[in-house]
Parts: sequence; structure tokens; C-alpha cells
Amino acid sequence: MSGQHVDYDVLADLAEGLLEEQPATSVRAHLKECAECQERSADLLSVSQILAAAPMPPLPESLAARLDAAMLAEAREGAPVIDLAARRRIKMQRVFAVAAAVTVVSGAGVAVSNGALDVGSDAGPASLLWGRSPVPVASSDRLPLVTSDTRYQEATLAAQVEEQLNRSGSVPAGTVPDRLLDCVKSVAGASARVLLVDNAWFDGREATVIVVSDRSDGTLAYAVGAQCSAQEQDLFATVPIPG
Amino acid sequence: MPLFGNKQVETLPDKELLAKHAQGDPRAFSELVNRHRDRMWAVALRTIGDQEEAADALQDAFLSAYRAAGKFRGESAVTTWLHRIVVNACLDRLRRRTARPTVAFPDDDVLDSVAPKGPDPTSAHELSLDVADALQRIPYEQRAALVLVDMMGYSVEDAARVLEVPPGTIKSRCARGRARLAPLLGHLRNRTGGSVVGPSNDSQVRAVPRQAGPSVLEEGGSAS
Repeated sequence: MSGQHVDYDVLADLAEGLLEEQPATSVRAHLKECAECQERSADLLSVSQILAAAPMPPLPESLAARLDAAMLAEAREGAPVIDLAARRRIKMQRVFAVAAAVTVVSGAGVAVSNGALDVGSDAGPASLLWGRSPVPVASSDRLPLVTSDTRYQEATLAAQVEEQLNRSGSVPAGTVPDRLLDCVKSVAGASARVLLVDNAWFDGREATVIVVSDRSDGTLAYAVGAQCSAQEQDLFATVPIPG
Repeated sequence: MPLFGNKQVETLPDKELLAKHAQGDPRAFSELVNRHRDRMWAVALRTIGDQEEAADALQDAFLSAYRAAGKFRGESAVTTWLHRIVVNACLDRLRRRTARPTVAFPDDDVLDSVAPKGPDPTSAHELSLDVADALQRIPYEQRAALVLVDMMGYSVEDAARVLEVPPGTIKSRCARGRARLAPLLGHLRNRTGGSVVGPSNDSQVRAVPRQAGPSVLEEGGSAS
């Protein structure tokens, strides 16, 4: 038998091509003749196979949900700076609406838009929500419309809608397709008054979130899917919005 | 089906997703996370060895990636970049752990005395428990290299890019790690279904056949 027995370290180096030419040659010569070292070498080679054969650990569902929540929170925190100011202004508008007060805020130096307070003769203070007056779906095909692409989720829908209402500030009216108008009437009633229509996502599916104000029911948010129409509601979720 | 002109993100390649995220598209990063979190979880859990710590590390890593996305310059594949962030988050935790005086790594004598001698394992569950247990008994830098190369199937070059060390260092860490694992995993030999390769007369002795074709860490496109 040629050469000395070799240990795992030398054999591992040989396998990775880390040995110099001369020692590599003599180790190989020894291996040809030594059953004990062949056994050891086989042990070593099986390590990689055993590691490769270990089943992939499945991602726990709780962790998947936790990662989603963490990303959502991060997305909110990274929201544009303008939001804080907009939120403060909107809060003040709501205070003034309830107090039926008028035009200029002193101290903070923020002028409250008359337009936001101009809610029409039949609308009481309660109908002025998030600094805007709801638009009756029966009288117009132009509703407050945004495409926020927010990823709404069932558990957080109310909070996300509230956030969206605060963030949107004054929302320009956009022409809403007939199908969507029919959808709003179908899920919220023909006399519904719309605060916001948001093209976004709900639990991973494309969805439209419709926020309506009703004097008896308060404010409600509906998340509907792409099939929502006069015939079919395709309703994912409904939640009341506090405030 | 898009409602009003929303583009589908599911079919975009990783690099475009990252660019969209940097431009403020709220769906892009979620899609990136969904696409890679299973593999990243496997890397984190195997490297750290503890479910809770691995979960924390993975969350830290994805948050770091979320914030650092604007700095990604496209010099590597997005997956390489993500792996680097995940592995570094794990190694940071392991370094802090070993710096704590109360939790020391057992030395070789202790390892020998507690090496598995019990009844032969039969189920895949026991197999993976034994493997996870043995992995925790080798130095974490060797473990990180073996997780990438032997367990996840990446090439030495890809692992070197992830860990930001020369390929020779990866080879050496893998060799040291395998030498330490050999006596710990010997009882599992011939139980993994595959035939065990005997010593070869070839000059090219490969511990595990590398995957042919494109590298695993290449840019991911649609769902794979």
C-alpha cells in the first residue's frame, strides 16, 4: 500500500481541487489501494448528496402574512411628505364643518377652501366627510375617481380606506364607465352618494373600492371585482368606515 | 384582467420590478417578495437554524431591500443582490449571537460526544432534523457556503458573488464544512435515495454535480 491514510480534510480538499499537484497524485494513488480511505472518501461525497436531498422548509403562513404586513407598513411610512399637511388640513376642515364655522383659520395660517364647505342647502354637517361632499350616483356619471393601486386587504380595509380618504385630499371628478355606475347602484343602492371610487387591489385581485356616504348607515366601503355590474355584484367585502 | 389600464406586474422580470418599485409602484416590491420569499426563507432558516430568528432576519432583509432598492445598479442579478442582503442579515445575527458570552459554540470534543448514535432515521422529517442539527455544529461561515452550494445548488461563482468573497474561499469553506459534517452525517449514508459515488480515479472529483445550463441565480422572469 502506498502512502499514509488521509483524513476528511485532505479528502475534501482533493474533491474541491484545492490540493497541489504532487500531494493530490499521492493521495489518489493511496485511495486506489486503501479500503478504509475509500470508505472515508465515500462518506465525504455523500455529505453533499445528503445536504442536497434535505427537503426545502416550507414558508410558514404566519410568516408570509407578517412579511406582507411589514411591507404594507413600510409602504405607508414611505408615503410622500405632503400627506401630513393634507391630513392636518382635512382634520381642520372636519372640525370646522361640525362647528358650522366659516372661512379663515388663524394661527396655523391655513385657509380653508370655501369649496370644501359648500355642500349645498340640503346637506347637513354630517354629510361633509374628509373635506368633501359626496356625489349622488343617480345624478352624475362623474364621481371622485382615483387609481391608487393600493393593495387593500380584508382585515385592514377600513383603516386603508380611511388612509386613502385622508391622502386623496380633493379628488377630481372622473367619468366613470356605465358598468361601474351600474355596479355602484347595484351594491350601494340607486340613491347612494359616493365619496371615492378607487381602482386598486383587494387580497391580490384587481378591484374597485367604492366609498359611499349614507345618512342612516354612516360611511361604507365596498370592495368589488372586475365583474361587478347591474346583474352581478362581485362583492369581495363591505366595511363601515368610522368617522 | 385589468380594470382601467393597470399593467400586470406578474410577468415583468426582476430588474424591471425593482425599477418600478424605485419609481413608486406599490405593487412591484410585493411581487418581488412573493416571487423569492420561499427560497429566501430556506436560505435564512438553514443558515440561522432557529425559526424565530430566521423569520426576524428575513423581515429585516426584505425591509432593507425595500429601502435600498434605489441603490441597486444592476451590476448583478436581482436574486444575487437579494441573497446577499438575506445572508448578511443572517450572518449579522449569528455574529451577535457568538459575541454573547452565554451562548458558546461547542468545541469538537463536545460535538463528538453528542454526535447522533441513536436508532436509524427513516422519515424525511427526521432526516431534515438531523441535517439541520448537524449544520448547526459547524462554523457559520462554512454553513453559509454549504447552504448556498450544496443545499440550494448554486455554483461556487454565484455563492462567491452572494457572500462577496473569492471563489477559492467558497471552495475552502465548503471543503472544511463537508469534512466536519462527514462524521456527523455518516449514519444517514445510503438513506437519501441516491446511490453514493465511490472514490473516483478521475482527476476531477466533484462532490456534487453542478447543474448544467444557465446559472440558478440568473435573472428571474415570470413565475418559474
